[in-house]
Amino acid sequence: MARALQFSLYKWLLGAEKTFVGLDNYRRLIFEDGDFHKSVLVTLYFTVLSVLPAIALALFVAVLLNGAGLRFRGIFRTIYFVPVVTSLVAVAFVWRALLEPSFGLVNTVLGWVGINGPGWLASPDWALPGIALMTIWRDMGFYMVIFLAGLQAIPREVTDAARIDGAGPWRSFWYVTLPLLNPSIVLAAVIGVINGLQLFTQTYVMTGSPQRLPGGPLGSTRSVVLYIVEQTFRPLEMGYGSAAAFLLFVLIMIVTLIQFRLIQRKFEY
Amino acid sequence: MRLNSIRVVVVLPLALSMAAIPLSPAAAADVTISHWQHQSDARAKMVQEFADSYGDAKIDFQSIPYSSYFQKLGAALEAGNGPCVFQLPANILAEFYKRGELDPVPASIMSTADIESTFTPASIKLLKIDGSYYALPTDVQTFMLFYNDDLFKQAGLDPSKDFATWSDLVDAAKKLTTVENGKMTQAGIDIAASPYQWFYAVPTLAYADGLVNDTTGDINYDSDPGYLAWDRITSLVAKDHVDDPQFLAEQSKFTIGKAAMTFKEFTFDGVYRLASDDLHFSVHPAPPFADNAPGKVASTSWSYAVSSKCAVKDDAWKWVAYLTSEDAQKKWIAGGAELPSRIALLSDQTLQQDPNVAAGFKALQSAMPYDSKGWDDAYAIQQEIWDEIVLKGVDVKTAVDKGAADERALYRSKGLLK
Repeated sequence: MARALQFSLYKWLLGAEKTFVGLDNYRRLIFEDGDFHKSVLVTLYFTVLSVLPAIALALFVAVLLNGAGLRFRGIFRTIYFVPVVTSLVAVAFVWRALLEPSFGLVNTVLGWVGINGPGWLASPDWALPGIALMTIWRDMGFYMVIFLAGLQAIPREVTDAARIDGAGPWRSFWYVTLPLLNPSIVLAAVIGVINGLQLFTQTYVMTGSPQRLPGGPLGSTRSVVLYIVEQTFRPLEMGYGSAAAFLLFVLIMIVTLIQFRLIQRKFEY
Repeated sequence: MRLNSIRVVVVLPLALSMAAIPLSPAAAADVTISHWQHQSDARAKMVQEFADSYGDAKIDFQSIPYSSYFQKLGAALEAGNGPCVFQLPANILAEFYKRGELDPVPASIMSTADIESTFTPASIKLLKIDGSYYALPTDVQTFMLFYNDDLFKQAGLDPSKDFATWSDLVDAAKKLTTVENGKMTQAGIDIAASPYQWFYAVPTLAYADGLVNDTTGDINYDSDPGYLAWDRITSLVAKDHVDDPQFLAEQSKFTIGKAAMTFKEFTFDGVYRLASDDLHFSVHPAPPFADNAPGKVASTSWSYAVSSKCAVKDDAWKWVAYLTSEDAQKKWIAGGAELPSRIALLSDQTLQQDPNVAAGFKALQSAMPYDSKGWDDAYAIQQEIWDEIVLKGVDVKTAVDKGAADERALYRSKGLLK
């Protein structure tokens, strides 16, 4: 990191002399580089699109699978967790085929219920939601395990007391279980947001091809990390790429601190 | 990148045959020459065969995955531990020259006059910088139209004829496009998934000296011929609807018989032969930019260069000369992957018995190189022009002007334009 910070202060086109430019790379990135700004927006949009639904769905599934009376609980938990342990590159390729607009499975199924599916990865408006959809499917199992652990750590006496006091299932969940799950939610949200802000593999695999550079169409899936790779290794501008990488580090740190501030709640049993 | 995987299948038969036919007896040698090029299994095997049979030096050959080839090469050259011999696209040679990383071809290997009388003009145009040649050509490709002959006949079109004008091409493509219930079922031209061949070739052919002005080194294409070229190619999808970006977006429509034409590098002749026995196709030049004018054909090529920091430059150049020799080129061509860069081979009828190959050879005689001075960086800019027009409906002039400005800025950042 110290090296990246040092390089970010130079104009350094690989093969040419390094020239000290101070904060000029940062100035260009923050005030002039529209592509960088767009990549930040894409990354934030993806993070919101993928992390919030994944956490909400995972919480719902975890509560269902935490019920003592459910048969085949272990099998269901395994099914939801399997995507987490599969190769991200492999599932990205599979989802790329699933999202193919004219004959892909997703649009075929949508067609059965009378919905004319979108262009997904071929459309600037739908490519990122398509990638988010795959990410939700893959990450949900991971969050589910975190929530299951959190649910099982809640003392039985607390929920029993709520029930005796007349709380129904919904009020018990909302006023007792959810607040006590706060540490798990914070953990899931922090990990999810950090992963979301580091989006790379999905967009690289799902939008790139021997005929097309990844990040398209029209930069609609170009994340900050992909942009850093492009800036660093396409024109071999090491200084500029390092500055972008350092800005991403700062962005992740700020967002994480905000999350802790907004989500974390103190509680006592 | 875009041809890399394809070459694997195309060159394989040749590579296998070469395993049994050494070019010359191997001899012990004290000199070691490091040689890097981007990975393709068959190509790597071929070069290794050349290396094993080369008697004048030991070749330390490394085949590097394409996705990291330029990163590794750039970093290694910068660190002073790069290879002696490396493969570069002809159109980015100037960038490496500007960084002082190239050694000129010594007269002891080939004089300037020898190079110009030996190789086709298109294959060496971009290798000459400030009066000297800095590499020798390899892997020459022309951009050609491929017809699905069966679909042409079904539509009542003659697959043996070249198109005389652009409007002839458009009319045929429309006739070959089929739509059922509002959805495309056959594309007239397979274009949307891989449009780069169009925006490499057609704007290049709109100018006598290509995309870049030979005198000033500046971009040509933000002027009337360039606007017309971009309008023509984007209209194929945006207005003429002979292809749809959402129709079989992940498939090679031409290969599976869902497109009647495609426009690709000549090497796809080998790809399509291997892809399907049922695919009956023929190879043709694209229509000329100006109606009924003598047609030119756009081309690309790679080259073998020697590092300015190489400790055994003379030996390295001998190895490059060996790789680009007439005998070696015959072996490359025999695999069906490449066209020759040597003029002497253009008239060798034994190499062009097949009519598709003959069309490729003929096209070489009127070839002019795609001369944008960038690789993925310039490609990204031109792809964005395409996407802006086709996907967002941006006015052609606005998109082209923006792209040309971006490409100009790119050249300036590389020190290739003042």
